[in-house]
This record gives sequence, structure tokens and C-alpha cells, in this order.
Amino acid sequence: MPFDPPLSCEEVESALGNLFEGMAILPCGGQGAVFKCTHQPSKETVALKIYFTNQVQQRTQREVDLMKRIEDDTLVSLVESGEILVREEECIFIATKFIQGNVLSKVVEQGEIDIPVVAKCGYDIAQAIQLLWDERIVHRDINPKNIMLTNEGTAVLIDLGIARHIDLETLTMPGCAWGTHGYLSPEQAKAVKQLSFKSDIFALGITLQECLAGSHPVNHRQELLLGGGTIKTNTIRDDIPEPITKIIDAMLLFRPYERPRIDDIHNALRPYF
Amino acid sequence: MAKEFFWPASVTWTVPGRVDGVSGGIIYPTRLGYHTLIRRNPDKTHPHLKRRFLDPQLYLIGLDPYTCRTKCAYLVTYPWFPRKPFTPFDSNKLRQNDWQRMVKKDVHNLWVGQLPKKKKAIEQTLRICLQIQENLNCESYILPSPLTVDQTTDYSTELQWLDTGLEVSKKINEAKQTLATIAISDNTLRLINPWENELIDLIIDQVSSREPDGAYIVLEQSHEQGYYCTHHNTIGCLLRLVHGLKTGGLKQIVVAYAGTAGFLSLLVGADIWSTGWYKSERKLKLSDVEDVSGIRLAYPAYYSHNFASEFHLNSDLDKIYQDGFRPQDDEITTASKPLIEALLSGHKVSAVPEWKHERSNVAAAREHFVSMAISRTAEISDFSSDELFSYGLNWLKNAKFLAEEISKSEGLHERTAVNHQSSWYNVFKEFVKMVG
Repeated sequence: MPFDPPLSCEEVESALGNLFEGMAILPCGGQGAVFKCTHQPSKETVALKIYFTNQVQQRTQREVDLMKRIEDDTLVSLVESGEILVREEECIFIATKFIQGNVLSKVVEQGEIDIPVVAKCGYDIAQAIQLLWDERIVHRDINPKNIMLTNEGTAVLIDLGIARHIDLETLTMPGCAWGTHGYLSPEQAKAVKQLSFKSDIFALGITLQECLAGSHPVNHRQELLLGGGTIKTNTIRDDIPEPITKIIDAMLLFRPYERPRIDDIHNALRPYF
Repeated sequence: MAKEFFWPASVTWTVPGRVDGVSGGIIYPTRLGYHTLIRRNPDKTHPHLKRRFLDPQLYLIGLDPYTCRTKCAYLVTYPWFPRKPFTPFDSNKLRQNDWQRMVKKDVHNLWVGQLPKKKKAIEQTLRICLQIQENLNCESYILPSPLTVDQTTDYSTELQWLDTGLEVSKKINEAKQTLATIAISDNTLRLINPWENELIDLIIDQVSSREPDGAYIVLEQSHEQGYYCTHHNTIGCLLRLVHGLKTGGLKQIVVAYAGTAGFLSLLVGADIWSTGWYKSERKLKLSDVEDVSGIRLAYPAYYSHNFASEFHLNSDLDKIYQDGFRPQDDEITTASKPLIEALLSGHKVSAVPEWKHERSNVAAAREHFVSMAISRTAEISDFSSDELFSYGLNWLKNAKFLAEEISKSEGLHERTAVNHQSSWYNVFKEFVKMVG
């Protein structure tokens, strides 16, 4: 459950002592309260996330471990993590480098996105997916709310909170799928026992269609996809180069092993940004 | 990639008769001890094994050393098989056979029968196994894997072995091709429609996502009695597995222990199949690995590729020939020629000494079978996918027709197998419809 009433900047500053300062409230993520502030030891501007007390602690610890292991421009980087006492409850906090830019969902709200931006976004997030998979991690929640476009033009995958390391015991209930409705791959929606990066590729495919369309391409899309229906990318806009429509359509194939590998995605998108 | 036939170096390393055209071979530890293997030089003695794989056979870890003494006694000599400390072979003290007998006598004490579970122990096992494959100059590493027997598994143990195997293989020789072993029991395949079998989806997705160079598929046929895999779901899953892995980007798919179904798998994407003539070379069935009292002797049988099956030679072939069955020209091999000529001249099978129904009189039957395997493989080697599908449909439709006709004869021996053709044809037709 969210903090009720919402956490104030003063409460957090007081709980954390001098570690962070200059608190400003940011839009709340799915799993905690978020603040923009300065990390005093490094003087970095960070996004500070404080997890709700009933969040599964192991999931949060996993996010921390994951971010410590992997460093890349396309993945959010960890600055500090620890525990604090808030309202007499032990909470976990994570501070990640603050990304100067816009969350992709906000950009999409403004309408269709230019082809080069979409191509670069697809390229970068595919790279992030590959880096996670190299550690046998599936993100499981790729959607425009979890992607930042930096001012320099790089797409960054944020909020790894539900990424699951496949060699650890499952944290989900049997038959219960984590993720965001409308972006789940067919196999993720079925809550199969093991997912591969191809599930993230599917979610990226829908995200890219949304970028091209300026809105989520289909109402109740998930039901359509599970029923075998697909939306062809070339029906979204007239100006999309064929290699891009082809690769996005391939990303949305029903069977995961028929979806493209990361190299295929990179090769298809690279010429367009 | 061209289609190829590999000889299973198990019962014997030698290809029967005067057969040419074997592309390579797969060495199986169940047939000889490690101490014997490392003293052989296949490049000199068996040129057809110049291109070779060594199947680590770790999928046999669950064998019972009391009932499978012979096989366990060979396997336990390989350093990647978990075992209690034992006296290594010393040529100054014992001859190879005497030492092997000693191991067999004590195998129930030596055999551990469980895979290591800790990451370091798995790494060490893999390092030993792959280094031996490297030392033997194998063409690719076959990464060992346990046998999958549970339909509801999350496949995590197999994936742990695969992930670790891929890491270790890079350290030993990054340039060498790696094949992921997929050893799967028909227990997991028979009860579910192949297109709804989530385990098959899971295996294809997870293995292809790890991007090994290829896969080495071993089908354990617990429920099959004869020489041919009959169950439509088992065959359907084999086809799906092969095709899915190929579609998922794997470069080379090798199918072993599937008999003529291995050839069938070539039609949906496999690159290499391997089978011998003896039942133990055609299929893996754990209960067949058990020791038996006495000596099992084989009888000859005539393989007809058009029939996708064999004829028992005591009376069946004579009877069916009288009923109008005629071997086609494309089934004449050096070994079968005397038999076919005799039949055409009105003689019976028993008039041809090399084919007479007698114990162990199998040389001509083996040679003919392998010749057919090689020539049929060569025939389809450069076919496109569409041509392979078309070939398969025609081949199996004809085989089904022949089986239906032949089965009208009464009193056929079970070795004249007539039940699988219809199953294979229907599965293949369904497969082509689904992927075509």
C-alpha cells in the first residue's frame, strides 16, 4: 500500500540525516515514494526511491544487487542504497543517478514520435535487454513509463524492481503474472515457469508501436494478442521504413523463439538514427 | 547446411561392410571404458570418425548400478561421472579387460548416481568433460545435461548445466562449436498435444535464447517396445523441438537415438542424424540398458525406406513378396542386391545365405540399412524447406499406404512394423500445416 498520507520531504530528510538534501517530490512509481535530491557524498543529483513497507524485501534487494552488477548508459545506475526508519517502519531506499530528460510515456502523450528517435530508443533498450539477459535477468516490465529519454538522446531503462533473476526461486505466485497490462508477452501473461529475454523483446515491440502511433495502438491489446491477433506496424503510419516495420512485427510474434535476436534488432534499427 | 549421417560408435566403431559416405561419428561411453578410449587413435583406425563427437551421456546418471552393471562400469571410468575413489587403471598391473571386470564387480560401491549441485562442482565436472572432448579433438563440444523426465519441471537444473557449460567451453576453446544436450524422456511428451506442450515451448525458448551453436537431441523412449517410435505426440514433439530450435537461430541440430525418426527430423531442420542397426543403437530406453542373463542375439531384417520400416525374414518378406510387394530400384544396395535378385527369380529369402533368417546373420542387413541411411540423406541434402516438406509428405503417404496394404497379410511378425507409418504421416501433415 502507498504511504498514507504521502511521505513529505521533511520526513525523509529527517530520517536520512545529512545523506541527501534538497528534496523535491517526483511522480510516484509503482513500488514506492520518489524524490529528487542531491546525494551529499558524491554531489550527484539522484532519484531517491523509498519502498512501501509491505513491498517484498527480497525483490528490492534483488534490484540493488542487479544495479550494482551492470553498468551501461542504457540502464539506470545505482548511487546509494540502505534502510531507513519511516513512521516506525523499516523501509529500504535506493538512490539512482537522476536522468536529465523525459519519461517516454510523457513524450508519447504529445503525439507520434519521429522515426530516428524511435529507432534509437529501440536500439538502446534492446541493448539494455541484452545486458540484463547476459546475467540471465528478464526485466518483465518494459513499457514507456519505465524508459527515460535523456537530453543527449539515449534511452535508459529504469525501475528494475520486478526483474527476476532466473536462478533464484520465483517470487511470484503460481499463475500470477507481474508486469503491466497491455505490454505482457503471451507467455508472460500465461505466467509460464521460465521467461527469456524474448518476453522483453515483445514488450519493447509494443512500446515502439506506441511511440510510432502516439498512443497505445490497441485497446485491450493483450486479449487480442493472446487470441492470436496482431497489429501490423505498417498500418500505424505511412512513413515507417520497411525494415523497421518488419523488425517490430517480428518482435511481436506469438512464439518467443520466432522473435528476433538483439543483433537482428540492432542491424535493422541502426541505419535510421 | 548439408544434411549428414553420423555413425554411432557404440556396439562397434566399424561401419558394416563396404559402406562409404559416413560423414562422421558419435562415440558413446556406455560401450567402452575411458582407459580404452584414450588409448585408441580413431584417425588411424577408423577414418570415418575423423569428424567426431563424444556424447558425455550424463543423462544416464540415474541408472541403477545393480541392474545396469555393465553400462555403469563403463560410465564410471569417465572422470566427469561422479564416483567414489577408485584404483585407476595401471597397465603394469592389469590388462584393460581384467581391470574393467574388476570395476564391474565393484560398481555398486563406486557409482554415486547423483549430479553435483554446487556451482563449483558443476563447473569442475564440465571442465573435465569438455577438456577430454578437446583432447580427443572432437568437432564440437557436447555440453552434458541431465535427462528431463518430469513434464512439470521448470527446467532450471538443465539450464544451470547449460549456462555453466557455455561459460566453461569459452574458457577452454572459444572457437569450438558448442552443442546443448537436450535429453528428454517420452514420459514428458506422450500425454499432451505437441502444439500445447508447454515444456517443449519452454525448452525451445530457453535454449535458443542462450544461443549455443547447436543442440544435440536424445530421445529416451520409455514406452516404446519395438524399433520404431510409434506415438504421435512423441514424434510431434521431436519435430517441434528440432524446428523450433532451428527457427530460434541454432546453426546445427543433431538427433541421436531416434532410429528412422532421426531421418524424419532432417526434413524439419535437423542437420545430422545418427543411428545404427541394432535396437540399442536406434533408441535409448532405460530399461533396455539393464543387464540380461544369457546372450541376446540378433536376427536379420530387410529395411525398406519406402516402407519406413523393416520386414521380418523368417516368412514375412516371402509372403509379402508373393502378395505383390516389390522393392523399388532405389532400394538396391550392394548388400541387398543378391536378395532382390533371388526374389525376382522366384527364390525365397532362405536361398540367400547372407539374408537367411539365422541368429547373428546380420552383416548384410546392417550394411543395407546403413547404405540406405546414407543414400537417402544424400538425396535430400540440398533440398529447400519446401522440397523437404514435399518429400516428407510423399514418402510418408506412400509408407502409410504400404503399411496398410502389408498389414492385410495375416500372421505378420512384430518385427515387420506397420503401426508407426500412419502416425508419422498424420503428425508430419499436421506439422507442415502449422508451420508451412
